[in-house]
Amino acid sequence: MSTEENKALIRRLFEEGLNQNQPGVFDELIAPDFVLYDPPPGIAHDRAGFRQLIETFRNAFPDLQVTFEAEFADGDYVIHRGYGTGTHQGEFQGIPPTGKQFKINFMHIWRVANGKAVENWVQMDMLGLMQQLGVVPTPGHGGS
Amino acid sequence: MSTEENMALVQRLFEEVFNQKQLDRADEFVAPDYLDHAAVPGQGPGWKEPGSSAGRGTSPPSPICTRRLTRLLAEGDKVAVRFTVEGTRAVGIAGHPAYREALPNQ
Repeated sequence: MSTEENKALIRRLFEEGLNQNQPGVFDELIAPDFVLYDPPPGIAHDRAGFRQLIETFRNAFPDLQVTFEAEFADGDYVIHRGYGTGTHQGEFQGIPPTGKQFKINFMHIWRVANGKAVENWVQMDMLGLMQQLGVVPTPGHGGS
Repeated sequence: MSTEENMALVQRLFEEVFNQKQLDRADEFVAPDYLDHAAVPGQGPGWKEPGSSAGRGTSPPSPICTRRLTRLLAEGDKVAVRFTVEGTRAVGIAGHPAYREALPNQ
């Protein structure tokens, strides 16, 4: 596959799988031997873990949406910078729903092989999320 | 500059400025109008702003911090770096006391 096809695959994964809430697309676009390198505690490093991770976020933030602001590719790798938005309507990591909205930045790297996503590295602003939910104080602002 | 040259520049920035602590050479690698899009509240967007994300590895709160590059990726004028930060917070920061143990982060 070309780098442009790799970019389109990852965009589709998020647009259809997450934004349009069609999790079936994950099994179509993610390889069975996929590796998720940076899962939170309790989430497996495989494709099922990725689905569980998305489901966990969607249960807590049913209106979750991801927007890509920059995209580029290098060989088998696809890199995105973007942000996620949502409203805290379900329990998240033991935190009862607060009704608060959030917007946090993230960056991720995917490797694609034979038309499937095979590896993922992701970092998102979890501290910023917790601060916006009001469960972690923001320095200089006296907390929530 | 070519994509390869851009990658080499970023690699040298990490190694020579961050890891070798040659902050006085940062101007060789960073433009005067550099923008820090990850600025924290109250911090300006410039490279030399206290606490800037680019300068954090050389700033007083983390004087012995090391950034270990694991992969460089690029297309055109964009370069992505995956790296692990290892260091010891030797002085207090944001009202929190110093630690003695290493604080790895990726």
